[in-house]
Amino acid sequence: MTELSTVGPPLARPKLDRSLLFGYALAVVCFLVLGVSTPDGFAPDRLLGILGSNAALGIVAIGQTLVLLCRGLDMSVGFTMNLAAVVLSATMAGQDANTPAALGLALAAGALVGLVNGLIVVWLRLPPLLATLAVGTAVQGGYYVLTKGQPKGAIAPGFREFADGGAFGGTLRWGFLVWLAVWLLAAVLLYRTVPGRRFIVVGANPRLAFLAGVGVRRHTVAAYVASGLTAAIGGVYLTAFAGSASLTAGASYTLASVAAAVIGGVALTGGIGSPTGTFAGVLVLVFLQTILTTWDVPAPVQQATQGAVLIVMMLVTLRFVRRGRSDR
Amino acid sequence: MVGGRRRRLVLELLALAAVLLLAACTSQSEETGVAGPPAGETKSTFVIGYDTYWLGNSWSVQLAAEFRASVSRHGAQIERVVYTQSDNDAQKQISNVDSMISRKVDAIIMTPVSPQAAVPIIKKANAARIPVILLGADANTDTYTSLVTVDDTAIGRVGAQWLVDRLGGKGRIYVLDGVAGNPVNEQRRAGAREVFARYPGIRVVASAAANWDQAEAKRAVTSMLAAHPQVDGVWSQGGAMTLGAIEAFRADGHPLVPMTGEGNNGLLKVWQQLGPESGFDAIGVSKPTWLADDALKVTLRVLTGQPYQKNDRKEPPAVTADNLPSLVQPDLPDDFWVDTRLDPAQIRSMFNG
Amino acid sequence: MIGTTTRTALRAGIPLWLLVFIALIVLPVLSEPFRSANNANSLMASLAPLLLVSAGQAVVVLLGGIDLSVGGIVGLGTVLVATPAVPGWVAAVLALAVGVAAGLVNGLGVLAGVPALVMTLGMSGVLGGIGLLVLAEPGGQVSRGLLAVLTLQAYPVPLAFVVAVAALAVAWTAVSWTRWGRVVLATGHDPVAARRTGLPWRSATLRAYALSGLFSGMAGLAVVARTYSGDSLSGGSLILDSITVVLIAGIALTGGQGSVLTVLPAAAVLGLLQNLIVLSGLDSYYQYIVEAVVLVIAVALYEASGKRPAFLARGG
Repeated sequence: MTELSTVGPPLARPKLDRSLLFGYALAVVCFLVLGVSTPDGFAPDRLLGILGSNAALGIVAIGQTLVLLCRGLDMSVGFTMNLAAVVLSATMAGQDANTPAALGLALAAGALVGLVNGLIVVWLRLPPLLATLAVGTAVQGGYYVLTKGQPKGAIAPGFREFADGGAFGGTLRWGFLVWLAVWLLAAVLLYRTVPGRRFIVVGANPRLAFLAGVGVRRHTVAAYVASGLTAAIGGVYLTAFAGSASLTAGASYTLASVAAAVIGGVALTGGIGSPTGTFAGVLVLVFLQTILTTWDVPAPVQQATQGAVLIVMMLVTLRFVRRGRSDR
Repeated sequence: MVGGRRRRLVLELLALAAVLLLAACTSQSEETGVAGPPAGETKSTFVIGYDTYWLGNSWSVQLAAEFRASVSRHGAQIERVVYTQSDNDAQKQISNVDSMISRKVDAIIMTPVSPQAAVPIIKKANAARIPVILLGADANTDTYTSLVTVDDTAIGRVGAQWLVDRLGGKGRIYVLDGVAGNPVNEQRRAGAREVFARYPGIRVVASAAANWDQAEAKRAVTSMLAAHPQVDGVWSQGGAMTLGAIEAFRADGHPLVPMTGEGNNGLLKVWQQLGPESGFDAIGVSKPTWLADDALKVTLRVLTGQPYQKNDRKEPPAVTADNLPSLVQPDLPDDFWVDTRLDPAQIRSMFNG
Repeated sequence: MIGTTTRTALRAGIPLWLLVFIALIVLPVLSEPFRSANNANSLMASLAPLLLVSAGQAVVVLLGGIDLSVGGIVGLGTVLVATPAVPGWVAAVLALAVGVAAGLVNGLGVLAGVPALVMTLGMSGVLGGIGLLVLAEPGGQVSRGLLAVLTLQAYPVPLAFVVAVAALAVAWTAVSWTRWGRVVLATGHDPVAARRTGLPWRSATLRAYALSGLFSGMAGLAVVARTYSGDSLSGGSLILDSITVVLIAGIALTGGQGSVLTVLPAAAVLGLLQNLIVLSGLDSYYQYIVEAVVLVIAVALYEASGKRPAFLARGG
């Protein structure tokens, strides 16, 4: 990996901006189709509701983006979400008073999984796909063995309301606000602070970063910890939203978060893309899903459509944005 | 370099330890194991193979708990139970049941993950002269020894009929399905569609496969409400999804409508809280977990040569507004299923493990 | 030159072969049910699809790609065979042809620049959806004649297992001793150099994905031999399992390094582990943990022993 790194893309920005524009253009198209396809489709209340109910994907995808940016991949996010849900439910035990402690433990569990991922990747030098898959599988085995298939405890009633409530009389869902906050935090850290810029260099060109004295390993581990944390936040929100912990609810989020990042212009080879691009990717996926559901499209057709759209979008992106660059 | 070598040594030791551990596990189980019965002798205690088809949702967990509880009640007749777990995977189930045949158990109790894929393994057990008792799901053969179940088509039909009657045969409804391609899903769906087809006044305006998941159902119904705000009823084939639908209606400020569901405590608690004046009404039609108890009883009858019923297809028990107060368990978690024979201590241990 | 590198790559698999041989000697002594012919039969029958899919996956990974569509192809294959509308033999050929076609489309997408992960993931969704459209729930009807052939066996050895091992051997030979194989390895080792030196990497890529598709189609038939039915979702677990096998076999995800032949003992290790867990009565959720640990240890061992010069480490 390191020997090839000098081939890494330069830090030039224009390409990034074009793919960003493209991501948002796609999101706008999906938005228009969504709006036109149903009566009263552009009502802001409805759109904010859709964004609120899909906040978990948005939050998780930000962590995935950070990992992708430093040439990694996190296949454990879905399992980490379920772990956070199980921990949350068990420690909360249905009491509002336990909420802060339960939240802290759930997030800590997520960060711990991220730390293990990061350490295995940099210390054992295992490929990220493998390392995170193995850790995710072990985490899954762990919570199944511990819970024997039945999540313990319960979600406190006060915390459940968190999912449906929001600012300005409930129009801006809390989940959406958390999503925005995580996004803002990631963007500010990445582009407005020195450690953040170092992080970008690590992703774009680890060899250069190493020669410049930037701690490549430290930054890589940090990315995985961040992803573990966002996965835990996503899992916690999903649990509040559903009202009870689930051992399977997170499963689909692993590949969905990668897909969102990729549609948003994040390269799987690292160094290219941004949380802002991923935001657009999440919008595309969420709008598409909503369109298919409201049109009463049968589930198999929905599945096939989503697969085809992913491929077509990649092809179009390549044609218009990344001409001449190979990205395998 | 030195670091690399040390690391390698540690890893090799770990690998060795893991292999030894596993080997120890197998040999241990063999010590207590099945030294097959002397031929020709009639036995008074039996080795029973039980394949847990899944432990991925609360119903499957309670079914397994119910079976274990039943085993403890019939301890005198049971020498040992060989447990396997199939993770809802038909091929894994075939391997698991095959391993029971290798271990020469006296009877096999299984819940076919796929009705067709279970056929070859049932026939293999037939050839090995091991009785097969199907619990809670059918197989596309009649060479099994006994079937103890509640038909999923009936579950779909009973709920749909109730909804149609409740709406006076006319109205716009949402449909919430489970996992597309899952046999239970397709059978319940078929049962419901058969009823809806007979009433031209009933219009299905939106449907989604919400994977029997509360969060997914809530998300799906949220977008359905936005697209088709005029709705008179919800046919949901899962209790958790019904809860998700109720939450979506309330979050949207939409008045509640009659919905179908299952006999899971979460739905019953909310239903009880809402009361009749809310406009909400429901029916909880489900497959009772006590089927596991009945399956073990039938198995023991088969093994001891007593008469038994080959096809025991029971009518689905239904929770309605009338019997709701007697069935709801306000102190137990949402994931509890009310059609059970577990005693309070066993229920508590399931949730507090 | 190929001879030397092939031998080097094979040497990396020696511990794995040893492990399997020791296990095959020790386990029957320790465990009574393990030594039954029935168990051997069950083990081989369940290994056949995994071997086929893993062999195809190995070739794609050697090329530097990854194939997440294998599960979709297996599922659709079983569905096509179980559709009563199509006569048995035609259906079997159709299943293989669909596999090849899906593989070719994967290859074309990758050549157009779509990351292999995204391309094959999208393809997986498309194939899974089509499978569910054709056959909504598991079942269908497989023609008697076809089933009789698929389930042929010299008890306890099932035909499907023999075919799977043969297919794996063919794939290994092709990668080790043909020009195509060399191009696959070169492309996996250093794609930029492979392109610049004018190697026919485009056709090699297409063929590698087509091979993976073909093997997945065959795996679909092997699954039918076990389940007698079609199920669009039946290939799901094979996606991760095949990648696990490829990694245990010491094939690097970065491409160009490893041997297809080592897939055989790697798949055997995974199969034996699962068999052992079931027979030992251990809660099968431990399987997740055990597999993850084995995976990490195996790959870390390869990594730790990978101190030899890079040019020697790569080969068929």
